[in-house]
Amino acid sequence: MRHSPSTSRTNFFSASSVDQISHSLCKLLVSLGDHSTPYLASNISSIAQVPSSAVSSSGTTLSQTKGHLVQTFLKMLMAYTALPGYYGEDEEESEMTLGFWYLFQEALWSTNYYFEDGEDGVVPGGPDVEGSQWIIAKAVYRELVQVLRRKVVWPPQAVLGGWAKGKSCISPGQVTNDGFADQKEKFRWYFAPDHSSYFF
Amino acid sequence: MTKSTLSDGSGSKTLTEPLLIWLERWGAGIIENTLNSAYS
Repeated sequence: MRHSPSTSRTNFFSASSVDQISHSLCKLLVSLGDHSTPYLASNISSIAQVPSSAVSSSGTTLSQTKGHLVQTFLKMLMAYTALPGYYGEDEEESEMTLGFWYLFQEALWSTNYYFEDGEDGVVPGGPDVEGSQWIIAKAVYRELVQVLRRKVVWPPQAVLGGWAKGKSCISPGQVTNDGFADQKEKFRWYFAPDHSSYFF
Repeated sequence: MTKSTLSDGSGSKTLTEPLLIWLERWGAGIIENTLNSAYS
């Protein structure tokens, strides 16, 4: 593992503007994913170009397909889901992204796909499991499973020992002096069977 | 109660697509900085 358990939390949550920006970027990704789940599911493999008005307002002149933009979004969100280290100790962001993957999976099953000529329509009998959109979706969820299998591994005793060294842990709406117990509980919830088994 | 023009995923041309383009332009660099600086 690339990080040091005893110092990584301090580094990650230092007052660096990069870290604050990065945390905000994660929140932006999650919020956009929450709002635009149907759009993302519908356009995951779309080769339709993004309208020029949207391109010009973003300050770039490069025209992109909707599919490319959606897949880039998914890669970035996956990067936060897959942050190195342990949730609750090394990072606080990965859990923020988990809800999206539930919603996105449901949207994929109920979506109206955009066909290659740019027209949208209902696929008879549900999703086309042989279609390009489904191939990409399966690749995304295959990677998600691999990521979660790594993230839910219970820390070895040597790492757990590092958590107990007097760190206070802030959970939503609560500050506790028993940081060790709180971190363990948060991590236990993170990989509770009813929380993650849906993906497996 | 009036319904927001951006509720339930609507507003893809005014919200979703511009943000996706912005993220495509700037997001990867921010994430790369995070992974390089915070976990090195």
